[in-house]
Amino acid sequence: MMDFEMRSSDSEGYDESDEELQEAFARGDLKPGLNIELVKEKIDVNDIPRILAKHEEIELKLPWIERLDMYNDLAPLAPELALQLERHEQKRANQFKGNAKIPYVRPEEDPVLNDFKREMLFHRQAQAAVVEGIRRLHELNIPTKRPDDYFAEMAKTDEHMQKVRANLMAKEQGQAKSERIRQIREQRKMGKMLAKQTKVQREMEKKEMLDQLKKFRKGKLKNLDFLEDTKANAKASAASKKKSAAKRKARDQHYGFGGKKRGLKRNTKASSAGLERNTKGLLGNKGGRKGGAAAKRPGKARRQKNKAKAKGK
Amino acid sequence: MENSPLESVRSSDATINKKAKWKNRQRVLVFAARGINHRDRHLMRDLKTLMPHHRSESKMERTKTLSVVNEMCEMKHCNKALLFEGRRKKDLYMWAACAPSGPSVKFLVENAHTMGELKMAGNCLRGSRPLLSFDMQFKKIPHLNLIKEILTQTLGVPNHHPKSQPFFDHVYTFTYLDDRIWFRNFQILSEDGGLSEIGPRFVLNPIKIFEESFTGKCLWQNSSYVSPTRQRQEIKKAMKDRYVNRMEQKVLKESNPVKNAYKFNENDDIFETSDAIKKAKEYADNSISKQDKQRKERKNQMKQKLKKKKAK
Repeated sequence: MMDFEMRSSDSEGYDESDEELQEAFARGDLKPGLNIELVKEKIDVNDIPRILAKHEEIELKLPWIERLDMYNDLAPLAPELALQLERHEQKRANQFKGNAKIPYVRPEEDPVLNDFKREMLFHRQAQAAVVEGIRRLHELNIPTKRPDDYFAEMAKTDEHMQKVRANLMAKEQGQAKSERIRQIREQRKMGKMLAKQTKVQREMEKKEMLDQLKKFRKGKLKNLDFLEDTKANAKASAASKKKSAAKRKARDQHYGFGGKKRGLKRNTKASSAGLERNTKGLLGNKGGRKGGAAAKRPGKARRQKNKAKAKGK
Repeated sequence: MENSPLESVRSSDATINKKAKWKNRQRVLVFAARGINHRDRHLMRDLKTLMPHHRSESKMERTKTLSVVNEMCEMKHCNKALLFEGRRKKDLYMWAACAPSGPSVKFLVENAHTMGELKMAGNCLRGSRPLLSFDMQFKKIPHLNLIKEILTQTLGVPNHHPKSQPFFDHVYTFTYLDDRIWFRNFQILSEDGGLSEIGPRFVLNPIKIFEESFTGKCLWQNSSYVSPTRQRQEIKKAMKDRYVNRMEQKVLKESNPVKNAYKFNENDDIFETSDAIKKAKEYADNSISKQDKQRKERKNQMKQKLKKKKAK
């Protein structure tokens, strides 16, 4: 694709140099391997007096209201923004810690590469601009707000804004969903831990009771009161009963309880596709081992070796 | 309006004679050269919706020289021009120029996001005047100051422009960071600093400032500027080196195979046969006979040495 030329007369200059090269080639001065393409080094041009003169020439010398330009520093960090920033920084630090592939960037240089921090910078500048600009406009007695009954064409259409809103909603819902899933996962983890604890406790109690029984047999204890105080045990057994009852119920629902038995065990279209039921409660842990692969039979060579070893001993 | 305290809301019935007060008459010719990318075209369209003082023009042919733009501006009664120039359907350059005699700047536009993106949730009136906020760097550095003046005159909406709205509901920020100018457009939700981004957003990487419009002496040049094509080329070259390195290492590894990867017990093959004890005995005999041989050899050597000494 061709580029624009600054001026049409420029092209003639290139032609001349080309001709020179052609002549040199005809003479035999140019040989392969002798010529290295020189990279034109970029010169730093900064003609300050001329720049200032040009600025003076084009500057609009009109009151501020015609221009609305301002120089702004950053606005002070709002507390909620600060909180967000802190959270983000923590996240970023974790990222660097957790993933060696992300090249580490020092926090001072971070703003260019860190989207969140950078956008925060612009946001704060805009905040400062709003506060100052609105103040200046009010000083000039110019109303800034739009009345509620003023309708005019907007930069984005209503249709587009509807899309934006739907997108926002979808995002929020997704977030809520992931949050809920995380909570459930945590609950499950807690449940497992509790189960482990109760198991240990039950074993302890059993051991204690047996000890006391032994003592009673040997005649060290005279009464059997310790046998009555087993409320915890009763509760635990009730819970396990409940669980097994649920399993029973699932089985009953699937295999039937009472009534006719004919044809119930036959496969249907849905059952053969595995769509019909939740096999979780029914089958227990049969379907596929989870932790680790099954112990495999060793290969022939190894088996023989082992055999020989066994004989040798 | 005269009674104080000031009413911040203007009544919707109030009419203002705009044309009489319209002093700052900027007209900007916003157009593109042929070969522009669709995203960049949308960016240009967004800018047009935000600038009620723009004039449009059909795409410019690449065969024409840039100085033609000045004539175009004259024909369209424009005193400013924004020209978008796409290269290779990838890179976008933007020229901002003051038409008859003023300076012109060439930017590389990077990281452009259009107003159509759904993450930009703000909205503003079409044609309302933006507040223009510049970073403090624009005050200190001369060439940035010049760029600021050009941007103010092109992107700022003139007061009392017939197509403009008399309310202030958005703000442009120009921030100088990493040798580039970052542009953002925020909606003013509340006047104490509640904001929401409208878009578009882009980064301007200034390349050159010329004294005249599209011609003239170069006033300033960015020496650290590397064209995107060159950048891509360098990345590719680096990739090439990586490939060559990997192949070299592979060849080297193949030519020097590892000699002793694992220390074997040399008696291990005893167990590979069915009667290990027999094999073991064989081995033991072998090793004993070997030792005997070695002893005999040593003795012979000693004898020979002694003979030599005696001979001397």
